[in-house]
Parts: sequence; structure tokens; C-alpha cells
Amino acid sequence: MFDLLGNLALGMSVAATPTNVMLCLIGVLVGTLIGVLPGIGSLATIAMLLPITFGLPPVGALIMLAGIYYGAQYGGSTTSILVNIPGESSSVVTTLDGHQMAKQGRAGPALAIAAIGSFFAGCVATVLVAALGAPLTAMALMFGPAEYFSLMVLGLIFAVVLAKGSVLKALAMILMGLALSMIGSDLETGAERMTWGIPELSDGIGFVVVGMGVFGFGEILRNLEMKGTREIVQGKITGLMPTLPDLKASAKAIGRGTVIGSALGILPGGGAIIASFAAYTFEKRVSKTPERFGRGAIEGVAAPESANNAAAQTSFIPLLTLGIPPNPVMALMVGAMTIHGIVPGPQVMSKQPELFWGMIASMWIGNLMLVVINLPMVGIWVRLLRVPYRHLFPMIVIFCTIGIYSVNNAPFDVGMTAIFGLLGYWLAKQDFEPAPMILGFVLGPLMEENLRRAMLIARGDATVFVTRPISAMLLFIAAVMLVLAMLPMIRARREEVFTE
Amino acid sequence: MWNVTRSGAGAAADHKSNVWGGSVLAVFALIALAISFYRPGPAGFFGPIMWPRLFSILILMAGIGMVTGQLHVRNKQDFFGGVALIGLAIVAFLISIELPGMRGFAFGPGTAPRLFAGVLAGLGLIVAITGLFIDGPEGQRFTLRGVFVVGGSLVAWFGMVWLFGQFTTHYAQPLATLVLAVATFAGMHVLDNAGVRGPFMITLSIFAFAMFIRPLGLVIASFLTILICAAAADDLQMHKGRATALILLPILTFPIFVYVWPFAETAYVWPFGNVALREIVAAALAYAICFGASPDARWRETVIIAGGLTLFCAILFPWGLNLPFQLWPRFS
Repeated sequence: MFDLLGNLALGMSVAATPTNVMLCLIGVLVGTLIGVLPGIGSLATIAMLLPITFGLPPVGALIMLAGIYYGAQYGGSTTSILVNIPGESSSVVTTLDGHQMAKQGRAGPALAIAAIGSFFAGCVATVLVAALGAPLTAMALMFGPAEYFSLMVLGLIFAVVLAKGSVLKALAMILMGLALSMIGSDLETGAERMTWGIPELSDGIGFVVVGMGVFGFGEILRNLEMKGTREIVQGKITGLMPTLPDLKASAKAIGRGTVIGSALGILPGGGAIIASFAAYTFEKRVSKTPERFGRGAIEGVAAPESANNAAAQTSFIPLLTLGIPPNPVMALMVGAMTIHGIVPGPQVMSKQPELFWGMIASMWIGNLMLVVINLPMVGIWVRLLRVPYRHLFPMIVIFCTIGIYSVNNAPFDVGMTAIFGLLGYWLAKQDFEPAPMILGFVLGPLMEENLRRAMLIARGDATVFVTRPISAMLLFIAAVMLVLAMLPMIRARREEVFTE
Repeated sequence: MWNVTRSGAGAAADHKSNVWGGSVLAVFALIALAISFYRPGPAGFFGPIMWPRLFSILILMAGIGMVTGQLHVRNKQDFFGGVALIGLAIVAFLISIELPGMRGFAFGPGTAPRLFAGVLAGLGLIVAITGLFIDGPEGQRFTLRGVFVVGGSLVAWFGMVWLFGQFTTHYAQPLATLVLAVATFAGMHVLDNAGVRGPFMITLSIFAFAMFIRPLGLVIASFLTILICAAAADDLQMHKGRATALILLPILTFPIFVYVWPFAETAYVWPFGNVALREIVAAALAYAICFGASPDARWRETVIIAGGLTLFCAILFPWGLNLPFQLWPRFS
């Protein structure tokens, strides 16, 4: 406990320097600005803004990136409430009640409660990250290659179970990601694999390229094909602050949302999305008046918003302690860290404590900023949303392209991104969920490496994965999850959760 | 056949032969089979090469079955999705076939790729089989036409540009321009009818950036990219418009760009090899002009926005963010 406080104090001393506070502020602001744009999720936002951080020192860059992440999350909920188009997948549920509230002229309280809920959830989750960091790191040190491999299998299975749509298709997507990640040089022998003799491919396909293409451009392509009209809440937003009954009604919802979100966020495999769905469903179930949900119930905004923010934050735990990205956004963080010369994993905490704790402390500062800055700025976001889409998408496209180009100064990357954009467009047509593919793509090289090592240490004995206790347990959980998701009864329930 | 009422024709066709879909599958499978025999790899029939061949034969059979109408696909989305995954796995298998596999108990560089590709093919097979036996969701129309149109148009566009790169003699260039204008006009029709002009234009603009950024610098590259990208706006109706203007404008402007343009530099257009840069630039501009000639285009607005955005990018990235960008073309 004392350790924890000391560590947080160290973190505060790093994060509260004027430069870092400024960086956090800029990150939060820019993240919200881009996150507000409909159809751009936090993944695309981070990918787009990644080049901004190139010139910064590592700590500052990570603080800024984390700020961008929360900002994007918050911006996404603003869009959901005001436009009825989810800014990103984790705020889909927010549209249900949030937009209804906005239609009833209560956009202000909806936005405010989203911010307050996010702030509370963020505070709790920050403490949780700090508290769980040390023990999990200690556990990570006991992990051998076999355990790492099994843990990644578990993470991928979670991604399958938590993704919406067919389990089988999600599994296939993971394998597709794994196969794509094999492109490039082999780590051990240096042999060129599946490169078609193209020199640019020998380093493998960058994660930013795949993520930006499939999520960023793929999204734009789909948006342009669908000719939907956006109904933006017109009229002035008055009465920003929620009333006392509002606060009372949502206090418990925020608490429950935070617990659900924190728990689901730690699980590898895309926590934030399922967290908001789960929190909403749970809230509806425990409510005495479930019929109010979908017609502007403030709990229906408070719970999922707290949950997705809590999950967004706790999903840093597996990344910072085990070095395994639990969702695509964290995978992008790995990319960003690598650019700054940091290898995420248990060694970060012991070797660079100021980086680890500074980032955690900045999470809290970032959340505070979101509340303080964003509430007065709602008017600006509304005006931004009134800009027609035909002006927005050229802007998005050009920023993304320049961003990708600036990662390696490689025109080839830009072309590849266009191809992956088309791939994302096709995946959507086929009703294949792209998120598991991205996760498979990121974990692919790590999985191969650990699989190879484990097999080598065990002298080719494949039973090593089930004879080592931790590994066996992880694989067992994965198998149970998969079987459960396949069972018809649970499957029906799962679909119910997603359609609700 | 023609006496069937139009509304009934679609439903009936689902249970008859699907000539297009089937032949695409069959042709792909035949090519994959041919490559699997041509490609140098471990000898022997039952080696790793057996898997791509086996799956190719399965796809070939499915394709023939569809053409002859023997195979009833209940859920097209799942079936074609699964087959596409198998196809991907076959490609991955074929291009990693010469990599060494297991050596004793140590993994070789080829082990993991083939392992993943094999499992992918297996899962794809299950997905495809599900599509054969379980009905898809009712009322959802599934079509891959849009994706094919976008992909095909892109290939056609780059093919055209490549072709112009071959016309180095001056007297051939006006002719090339005419071809480009007509093709553009016709192409816009096809894209608009399929409702996929947006996806095509966006993808094209990204490729354009990739081609322009090195030789032309950030300013011109961004400007052209934004112009092409703006043509994707869905509230423009290309095909309603003044066909004459559409065809005339590029004819008038194209030669100017080509003759006045100071660059003879070549650009690497993947996968079409080296192409003279000015032809690409001129083609891109002609495209943007075609878009501008459509009656409801907001031509002035678009140029102003493109200019403003370009200025913003030119300030933000090289100066604001201190990234090494070359702003203007290299005169070498």
C-alpha cells in the first residue's frame, strides 16, 4: 500500500511537470476533436495522430497518446449523443438513450453525465492499474514461452467470444490475421517469407498500415457507399448541468458500470466494446423501470459510458505488465512505444519506473481535463458536427495518408494502406468482423516466437502446453470459453446482448 | 426465361446456375493448380504441396457445380466468404512452399506460415460448408458487385495510365487523351450505377498520394489527392451531366499539362512498373476536371477547400510537427 502511494507520487512528479501537462492537454483536445468526427474510432484517431508524437521524448509521447485515446473515447460519446451515429464501436449503446435525451432537449445533462461517469470510472481504473501493476508484473516473470503462448491463445479466444457475429467467422479472421503477420523476414533465420520478392515487404507489413487501412479507410469507404442522413440535434443546448435527481439516479449506474468495465477491460480481447454492452444490459436488468431504457433514461448513458472508460483504462494492464496488447488500440500503442524505443512488458516497470508511473498518473490528469475542458466546449463540437461529410472526408483522408507516409517516409506503405482499405470494405460486405483479424495480426509474430521457443525447450514435445500448470489452466479456460460460445443457448443470449 | 416476371426472376435465379460466380471460382482454382505444379518445391505427391492442390480441386468442383447448377448455395455471404478464405490460404501456402519446414524438433521458417494457412483453409472450408446448408438471414441482399467494380476499375485505371506511358510520341497523345476522356465518362457511369464511386475515388486518391509524394513534394501531392478525393462526395451526380463538357475539357487540357509539364521523371506504380510521371499527373487532373464538369459539382468550393487544407498540411506537418517533408517538386 505504501509502495503504491510512493509510486503514484513518483508518477505525479513526472506527469505534473508543465510540459507534460501541456502535452496531455493537447492530446486530450486533439483526440476529442478527431474523435467527435463520426465514423472515426479511437483506433483511427490514434493512427492519424501518431506522427504528432514523433518529435517528443518517450514519456511525453506516451502521455500524449494516452490523452488522445481518452479524448477519442469521449469524443465518440459526444457524437453518439448529438448525432445518433456512434463515433466508434464502444459508444454504440450510448446512442440508444443518449440521443433520445438529446432529442428531448437534455443533451447537456447527457453529455455532462457521460463526462462525470467517465471521470469517476477513470479515477477508479487508474488506481486499479497502479495496484495491479506490481503483482501482475511479478506473475509475468514466472511466465515461460509456453505460458505466454497459452495466454495469447486465451486472449484471441476472448476476442472471438466477445466479437459480435458468428464465432466461426471470428476464428477464421484470427487465422487470417496470423497468416498476414507471417509476411516479412523470419526472426530466427532471416529467410524472406511470402514477400513476393518485394523489398519493402521484408520488414513485414506495419501495424499502422493494416489498422489504418481496415479501420480508418475501410470505414470511410463504407460510409460513402451508404447514403444515410445524419440527424444532428438542432437548436441550442441549454442547461448543461444535470439536476440533483439526475445525479442521484445515475450514481449507482456509474458505480456498477465502473466495476463491470474494469473487470472486462483487463481481459484480453477487446474489452471496451463488450463492457459498454454488458453494463447497459445489466443496468436495464436491475432497473425497477426497464421500460424507460431506450427512451432517454439517464442511467442508460451513465453506465455504458463509465464502463467503456474504465475498460479503456484497465486494458493498459495486460500491455504494461505482460507486454500483450489486449485490443487493437493497445496494439497500436505497442507500435507507438516501439517507435520510441520502448519494448512493452514486465521490464518497463522495473527499468523505467518514471515512464510507467508517469503514464498512469497522467491518465488521471487526462480524465480531469476531459471534464473541465469538454463541458464548456460542447458548443464547438456541435458546430464541428454540422460540417457536411463531403468536406470532412477529404480532410480525414489527407491527414491519414500523410500520417502513414510520415511513419517510414515510404510511399509503398501508403499504397498498401489503400489495399487494406479495400480489404476492410470487402470484410464488411462478407460480414467478417475485422477486430479479431487485427489482434491476430499483432500477436502473430509474438505467438510464433513463443511457440517455437516452447517447442525447442521441450525438445519437440507438444504436450508441454498441457503439462505445465499455468499454461494448462489458461488453455483450459480458453477451451471452456470457446465451447460455451458455441453452445446454442449461450449463443442466443449473446446475440440478444448485441442486438439490444 | 424472359417470360418470367422481373420480380420472380431474381428469386428463381438463386436456385439455378450461377455462371459468373462459378467460373470465377473455377478459373482461380485452375490457376492455383497450375502454379502448384509449376512452382519448385518439395517433391512427392503427399508432401505439404498436397494441401493447396486438394483445396484447389475442392474449389474447382464447387465452381463447376455452380456453373452447371448442381450446387445450391443457401447463404451466399458465408459461402463466398469461406471460399475466399480458402483462396487466401492457398495463395499463402503456394508462396511459402519453398521455405524449409521442421528440422528435427526445431521450427523452420516455413512451419508457422503453413500451419496458419492450413488452419485458415480448414476454417474457411467449414464456413463455406455452413453457407451450403444453412439459410442466410432473410431479406438481406448480398452482392459482391461493388467490391469487384471498385477493384476492377482501379486495375483498369492504372492499366490506362500505363498505356499512356507507352505513347511517348507526341502525335499519339491527343488520341490517348480522347480514349482517357471517353473511358472516364463510361467509367463514371459504371461506378455510379453500382453506387461505388465513393470507394473508388477514395482508394484512387490514396494511391495518387503514394505516387506523387516523392517526385512532386507535399504541396502538389496533397492538393491533387484532395481534389480526387472530393470527387467521391455522394451528392454529386456524374451521369446526369453534360457529356460534351465532360469529354471536351480533358481533351483541351490534357495536352497542355503533358506538353508544359516540366518533369520527365518516372514514378514507380506498383505493380505496373515505371511510368512517366507527367502522364499520371495529367490523368489525375483530367479526372478531377471531369468531376468538376458535372453540373452539380461545387467546383469553386472544392478548390478552395483543397487549397486551404493543403496550406494547413504544409504548415502543420513540416513546421508544426517538425517532420522531414519535402514541400516542392525536385527539379532535377
